[in-house]
Amino acid sequence: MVDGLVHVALLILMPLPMLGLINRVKSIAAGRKGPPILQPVYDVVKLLQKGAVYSRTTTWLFVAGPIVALASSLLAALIVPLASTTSPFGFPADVFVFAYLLGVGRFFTMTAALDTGSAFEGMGASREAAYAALAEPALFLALMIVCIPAHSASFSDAFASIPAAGGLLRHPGLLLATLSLGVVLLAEASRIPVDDPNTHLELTMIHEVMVLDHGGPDFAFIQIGYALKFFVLGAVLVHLVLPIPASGWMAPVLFVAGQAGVAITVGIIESFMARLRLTRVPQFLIGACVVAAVGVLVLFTGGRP
Amino acid sequence: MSLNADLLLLLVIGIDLFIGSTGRLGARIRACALQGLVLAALPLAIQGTGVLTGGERVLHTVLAVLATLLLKAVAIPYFLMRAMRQSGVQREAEPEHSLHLSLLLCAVLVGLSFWISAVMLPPPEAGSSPLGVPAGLATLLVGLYLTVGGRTELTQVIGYLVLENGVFVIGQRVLGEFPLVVELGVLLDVLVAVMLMAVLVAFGHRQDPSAAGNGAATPVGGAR
Repeated sequence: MVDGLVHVALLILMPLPMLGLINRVKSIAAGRKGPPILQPVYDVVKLLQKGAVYSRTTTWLFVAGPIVALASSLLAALIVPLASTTSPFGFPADVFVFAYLLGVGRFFTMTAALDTGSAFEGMGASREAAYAALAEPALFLALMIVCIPAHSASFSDAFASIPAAGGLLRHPGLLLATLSLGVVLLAEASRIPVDDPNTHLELTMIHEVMVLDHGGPDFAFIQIGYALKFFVLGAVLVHLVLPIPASGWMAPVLFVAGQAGVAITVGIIESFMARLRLTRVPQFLIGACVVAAVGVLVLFTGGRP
Repeated sequence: MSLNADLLLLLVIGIDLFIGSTGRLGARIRACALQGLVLAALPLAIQGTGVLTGGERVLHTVLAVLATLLLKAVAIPYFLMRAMRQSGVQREAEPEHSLHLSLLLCAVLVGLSFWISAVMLPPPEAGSSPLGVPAGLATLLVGLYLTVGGRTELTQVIGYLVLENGVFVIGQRVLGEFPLVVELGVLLDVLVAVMLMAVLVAFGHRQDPSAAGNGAATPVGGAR
């Protein structure tokens, strides 16, 4: 019961401030003071109080997009264990459901973008589809690295089977899984070097261009869903890197610290790296797939824990 | 020693993949230097089962590490860099296939080497890293691919160097400890080959300025 409450509290309170933390890290690196860490929360509250405008060319798909995106991210966040090795809402084979929940959200975001009939949004949707198709194998291969030793396709079993001592060198595949999942996180959450969340030039952006026509509460839903997506992928990363205990007060503390670490790392990457050229992004994602594939191979050569 | 052999060998494989996926010569040479550094650290991570013991063994290890470091991580990359600057070739000229394909090919080669070492070769002795032979084989195959697939002299030399690194890794894993003579022989082999190639590249450059135009800097339809 308490575990469930902690889980829900974390997934309500953390995602948006994490985005604020990234922006704060970026502003410090650039020598600015930067917006408050809670700025994304203020933005969402402001958006929720507004009304929405719908174009006459759009259909129910356009309205459904943000809602489904938010709902699927929320479900995914319920499945992944947060401040414990087991999730109160986990079930056998939830790894697959997790990956496809992200897929469903992406599909509806893309459909909503296409529904507007805008050429720019169609371009964004096409890019999103192309990169997601490359990021998904990397995600699956990286999750395989933790799932195969556990002989189970559920997050709870997989995370519980990661040995606690020894950091990232607990077994050699783990390091590769972390690297590859890190790239997936950057791609799925549309961060630099795959996409730039701050750009407002339609020709170069991917995620932002798909949601150009959404306003008011719809846009707020998209923002929350996006933050949640970043949050859940970050949670998986944290579990790979840090030995989160199964219970006790240390677990939430370690988890929050780990997530802050993820946000700060992403912020540092964004401060010191430029966005990759669009034609170079597939190379980056294929690289992540290959790294994860090597990790899976390593498992079968006796590198097994 | 507290160095983790598994990690070092993973790094070797990672560098193979990086070299296979980048088109810039400078990045490739730097990656080669890094690989040399990793190889130099490798003897420290191996608990050898050789005949040498005590002071002799320590001396041998120190010498091997220093020689590898000096040649593979410093001297050879330096000459390569110089050759690159002299020849004016900055990146792989119009690669025959895209870098995506090259990276995927390298990945297939890595997979192949894991498969070969799992299916065809005897299992590693207890105590040695199970990654040794696959990592060496992968490096060798990727090096072979780069040597054969390279279009400029420099990319071929880099490929050859990667290939030799693979031989080095496998040798170290199979023999446990290289006899010093063999070790020096391999190192000198590489050095001589690379220096010769470097001279050749520079010579060709001086002889025929248009021959330097293998690089991306050449205007289309220029040299060839």
